[in-house]
Amino acid sequence: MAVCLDQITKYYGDKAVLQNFSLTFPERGIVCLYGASGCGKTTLLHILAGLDHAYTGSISGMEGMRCSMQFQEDRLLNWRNLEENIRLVNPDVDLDGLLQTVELDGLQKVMPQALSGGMRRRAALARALGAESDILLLDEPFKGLDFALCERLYPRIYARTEGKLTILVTHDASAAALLGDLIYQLDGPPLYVTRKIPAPLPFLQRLALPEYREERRHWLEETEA
Amino acid sequence: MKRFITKNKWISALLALLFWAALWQIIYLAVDQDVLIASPADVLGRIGDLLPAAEFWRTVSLSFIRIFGGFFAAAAMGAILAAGTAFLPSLRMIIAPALSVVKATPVASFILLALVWLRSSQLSLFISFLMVLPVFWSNLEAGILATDRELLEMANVFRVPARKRVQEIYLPSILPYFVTACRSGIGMAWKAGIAAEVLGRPAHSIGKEIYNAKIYLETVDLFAWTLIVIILSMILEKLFLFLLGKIRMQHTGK
Repeated sequence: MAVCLDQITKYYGDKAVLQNFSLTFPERGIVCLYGASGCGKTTLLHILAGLDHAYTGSISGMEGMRCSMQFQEDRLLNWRNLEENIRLVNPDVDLDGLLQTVELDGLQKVMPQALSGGMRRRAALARALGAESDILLLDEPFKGLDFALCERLYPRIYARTEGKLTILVTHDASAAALLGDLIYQLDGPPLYVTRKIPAPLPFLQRLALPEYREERRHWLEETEA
Repeated sequence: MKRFITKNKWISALLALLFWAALWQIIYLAVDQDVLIASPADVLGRIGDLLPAAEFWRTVSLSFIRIFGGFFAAAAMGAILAAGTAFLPSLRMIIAPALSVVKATPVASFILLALVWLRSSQLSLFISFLMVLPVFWSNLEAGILATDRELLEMANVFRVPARKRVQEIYLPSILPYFVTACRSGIGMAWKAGIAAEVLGRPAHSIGKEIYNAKIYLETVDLFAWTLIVIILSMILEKLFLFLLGKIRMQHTGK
């Protein structure tokens, strides 16, 4: 069942972040919420994750769904090592494989404080990917990561999220251009959809055609409101 | 370098001790009345007499068990109340004023009241419990409320089981508050407990020894027992904080 947001309104004080906002997500695939920071994307993600109940409107299709999330902040337990942090959300996870995915292999026993900002970001991503879930919510997962590393991460993340719905909040046009099976270009606040852009090619073809990605990236960036 | 500092610390502690012992001796000589002030030498001699006696150790351990029974009961009860009031505002409305009253009431009033209700052997346990309970409650509640909301949200999204939430998120953030509560509570329990023993005079108690020394004008005994109380309090505090430090290392890695 598709996840539907219907007439969601959310205020911070007297400022409307979402006003009668409606959106439909497909059952599976990566949906990119692409737009400038501060337009209300994170608020939307928090509502979807069930962390924010102070809104009006309704959400359907989430009943019984298990969410997993990478927050805008790393939210790691500083008193637990990397392995313990990840096993907290899924004790049976294949840790070695997961850490290879985000290129943190061999760092199981390292404490979060000993990791660089980019490593912590990937640790939080690994935790989100490792949890058992039906819907994956990723809030700027590539923030602070260098381009070459991101290029290696994209296909692995796509492979790991196949078969479920992934909602990826980003203002990185090249990540959106490659990963997004569907891109919602957003602006606000209050949040509104400027464009709905379905990808014309499946992921592997998008990956194999650098010109396509380049063209899309330019297009997304130029048309950014 | 560390060794040097440690050595230095011991030397300064010893010098401070010698200074106060010398001052004591000077006051003793100036006053020159054994009933008012005992000499350091006599007091140390009396402690030397007491230490090998089995009765001394029995007295000390029974006082210890009673007072620390109260202390640990207060820690447990304080934790339960803190968990309750942190999450249930209505419970807080009932509990908070009661504990504020307990905090503000002079310990002597409680001791005299409790003497009417309880047997003298239970008195010091009850009094140390009552004195330390508000300390544990307020500190532990503050610890619970200061727990990182972002981490709790994270645990919510990932449906981390309640037991793990307590163990992995709440406990590590409460632990420093627990250490603070112990640090201020331990001396408080010990002093209030001994005061309760002085007034209740249960058999085999430090308080009874202090009371008898006062009644029979045995100033040397009075000084000796008081010094013993002080030394025991210092040893216990150091030992307890050392153990807590170990637990903290295990739970928070710092």
